[in-house]
Amino acid sequence: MKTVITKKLTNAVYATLILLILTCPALAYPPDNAAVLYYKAFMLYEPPEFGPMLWDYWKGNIESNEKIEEFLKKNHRVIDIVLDATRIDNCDWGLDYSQGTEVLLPPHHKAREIFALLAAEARMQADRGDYRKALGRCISIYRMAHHLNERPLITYLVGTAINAATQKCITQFLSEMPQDTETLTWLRDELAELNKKPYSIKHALRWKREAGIISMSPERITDVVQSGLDDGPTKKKALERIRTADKQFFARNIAYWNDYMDSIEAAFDLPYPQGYAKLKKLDDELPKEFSKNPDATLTASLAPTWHRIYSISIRLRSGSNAVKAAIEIYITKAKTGNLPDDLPAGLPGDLYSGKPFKYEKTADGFILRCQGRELYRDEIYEYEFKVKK
Amino acid sequence: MDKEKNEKHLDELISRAINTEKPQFDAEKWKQKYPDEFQMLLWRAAKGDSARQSNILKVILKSPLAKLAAAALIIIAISFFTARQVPTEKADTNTVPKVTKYPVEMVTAISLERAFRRGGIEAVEKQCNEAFKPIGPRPKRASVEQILAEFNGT
Repeated sequence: MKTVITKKLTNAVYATLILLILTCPALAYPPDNAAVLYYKAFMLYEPPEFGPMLWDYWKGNIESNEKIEEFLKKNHRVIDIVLDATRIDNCDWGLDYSQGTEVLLPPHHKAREIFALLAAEARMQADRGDYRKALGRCISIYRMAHHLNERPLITYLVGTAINAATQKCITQFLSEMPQDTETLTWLRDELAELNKKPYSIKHALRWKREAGIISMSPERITDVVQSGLDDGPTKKKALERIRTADKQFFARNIAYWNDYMDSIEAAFDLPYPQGYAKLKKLDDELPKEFSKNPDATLTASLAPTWHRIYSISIRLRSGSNAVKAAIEIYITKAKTGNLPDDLPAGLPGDLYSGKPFKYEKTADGFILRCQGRELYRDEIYEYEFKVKK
Repeated sequence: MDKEKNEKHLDELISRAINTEKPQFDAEKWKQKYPDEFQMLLWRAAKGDSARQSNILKVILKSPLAKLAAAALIIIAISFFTARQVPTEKADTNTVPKVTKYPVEMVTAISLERAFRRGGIEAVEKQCNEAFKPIGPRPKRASVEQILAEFNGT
């Protein structure tokens, strides 16, 4: 009797142990950190020798061919890994922020290559007529761009480039696909869900301030200036001042940097024309400040060209608003059979003017035109959407 | 130069030679670190030069061919020096120079921001590619036997 009980108990203990091991989060797939999967995909993915052909394909410049089909087939595991990663909320790239502006960044250049792979795969789904799947890939790419956007400014810019290219993908698919209310509503809802955590430059600005302060120490600053500035008189002068610097020099430079970053962050919150003017002024004045004021030395060594970055961020957000507004127009077309005569009220507008887009019907679709000019490129943007007859 | 300083300097040079593919000597840093030694070198060079100068001059003044060669050398030296003086701050924005030598220094946030300033996101990508290049090429397949053999040195 005793042996039977012991056996049963042993079995129960084994069963519990197996259950515990199987349900242990450490062994679960996918992991709870998307970055692990991205790193894996970055390592496994080898871009094709015919790289430009893949870019031409997703852009719709060329038709599919055997090479492309074969390549996508061979890389389906990489695509699956990235898609799994995009479904995970948490993404921690494991960056050591205590290094200030010298933090080592992940191989984000691979993200652009992976983007081309996913975009080509989306294009292939669209060619097969599965627009829902193609648009789903675009949503996944948006999520990847969100994941890439860690605190450093560069990660924001890499994510921005990917986001902007994805907008082009969506525009193409919307222009080709039959107007289907269900798919369009689904797409609108997916984008609304993404917007709950908007793609933003805010945390990159905050981190830039913190990183700058970390870097403004006697131990770090020489290396930072060596890496951050091009060879020339500015760098030479900055290094000279650093060589003879005392504690007060660093304290005054940090105070200057904090005031400067206050102005930068405030300018990013202004309407575009004012924000641009403010940032352009700050960018233009910094070299002059540097030559006459030693307190501006380290700020001049660390500051990027803000008015350019600001314009990039506004360009992305305006493009995103154009896609959202276009989806509403397509939904109206799907419901009524006709394009609206006027732009429906309440749609997101262009951020250059802060006004709604100018809507114009064309022979094969419609155009959404910005009312304000981008001052960095001196250009008025317009977004063309076609409508499948 | 005292003995302790000498040894420290030698250690630095050795460690650089071991840790890198090409040994590096940063003349500017050395000049700042050892100003006295630098002055001594200058002094010695000047002294040595003046001693040799009279002999060299004698040879040049005697031979017309040597005079021509000396003139050509001076012209080359002047043009080389002038070319080096062109400011590099407003350099070509399409090409990305190698910012720093080591891959690890090329993928810091500040270094990539500098690349972006010069050539946008393409320049960032190019610099990252440069930095990660030394990691490859990798074998297509690695068997357990191969790995064990590498570890055991057989």
